[in-house]
Amino acid sequence: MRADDILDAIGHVDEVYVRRAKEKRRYRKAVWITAGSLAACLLLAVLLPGVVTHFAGSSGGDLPGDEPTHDVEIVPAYDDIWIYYAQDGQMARAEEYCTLQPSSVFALWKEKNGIGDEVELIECRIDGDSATATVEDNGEDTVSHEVGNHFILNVTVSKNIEAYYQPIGRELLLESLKQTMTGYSGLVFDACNIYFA
Amino acid sequence: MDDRRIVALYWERSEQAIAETAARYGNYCYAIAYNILDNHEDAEESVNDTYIDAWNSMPPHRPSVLSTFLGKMTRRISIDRWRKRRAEKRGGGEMPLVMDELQECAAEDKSMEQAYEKQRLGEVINAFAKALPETERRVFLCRYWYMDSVASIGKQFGFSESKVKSMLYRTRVKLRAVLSKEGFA
Repeated sequence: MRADDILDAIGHVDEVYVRRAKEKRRYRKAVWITAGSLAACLLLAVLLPGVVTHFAGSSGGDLPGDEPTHDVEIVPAYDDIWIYYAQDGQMARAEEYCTLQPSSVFALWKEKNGIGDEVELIECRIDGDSATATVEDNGEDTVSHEVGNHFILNVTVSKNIEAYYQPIGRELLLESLKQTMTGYSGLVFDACNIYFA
Repeated sequence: MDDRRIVALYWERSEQAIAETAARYGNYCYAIAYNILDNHEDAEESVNDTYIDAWNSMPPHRPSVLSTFLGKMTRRISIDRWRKRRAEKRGGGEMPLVMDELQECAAEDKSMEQAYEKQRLGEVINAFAKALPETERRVFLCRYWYMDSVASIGKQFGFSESKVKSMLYRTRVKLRAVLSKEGFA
């Protein structure tokens, strides 16, 4: 075996690792979102677009239209997460380093299960028993949000995933999707529903 | 244009596929080729050969990530071109240094002929890379997959050159031990 053989063999390392070797990692001041705040913020972002949103770790929020008072950038977090997949009729899992965004996690799940690009993640939504109320205080409206205790993850994927039921097994495939999508965020979900559209 | 649509153009046998590939990945492939060949004309030829190979590969292939699919082609084409130049005693750049470093992990002068031996070596090295701590793996691949210089690796990771060299040396020692255990060295 010569150096040339090693050089050629290195060319066959998994593409995922080759791609990750060149990923740019940004180290600017990041705002970390706790699990409870994440659920609150996801619901607020959907329901109340004009609300002042507070992120854990920041010194205060900016009203829409204001000049930013501090150089804070929200960067997507990276972490090692478990990707569940079907192997020889059983559930297996592999640790992968990934951006903590539903689209990225879903893409890795597809890759591990041999599912093609035609299957798409349409929506990934957290529902729960959180409550939001508007309270008048000294003539001004203040929004208060109470984070609930129960979270349900609702995942909608494209219907053409059915093409993969036969080779992989419907129950196994959907269970691997549930475990992957509920496992990476740090939230404890009471349920996970998968919808098809 | 995203990867899926570019791949669709190849499958439709549209010449627009090459133009879109060049626009999106031309610089990326050129950087890989230039790292290996250290020569503008040779690097451009390798990139053009990559486009030809891509045209001939799709269909039947339908890669989900075009960058690494093309990058692997460019790497292979450029290494082959570099070997021809080495035989003609031409060329410089990073490759002589990379080969000297990898020679530390190799054992004999005899090249492997059997396809199954090469496949097995590929599997062993893939498992080795997978088991490395993440930063060490990234540095290892930047050096020996992408042929980046020690200086540019240091810049990418915010490390001193001596730290990059130490890290690579330790990884090569580990690789030699694994290859020896697997009967390759």
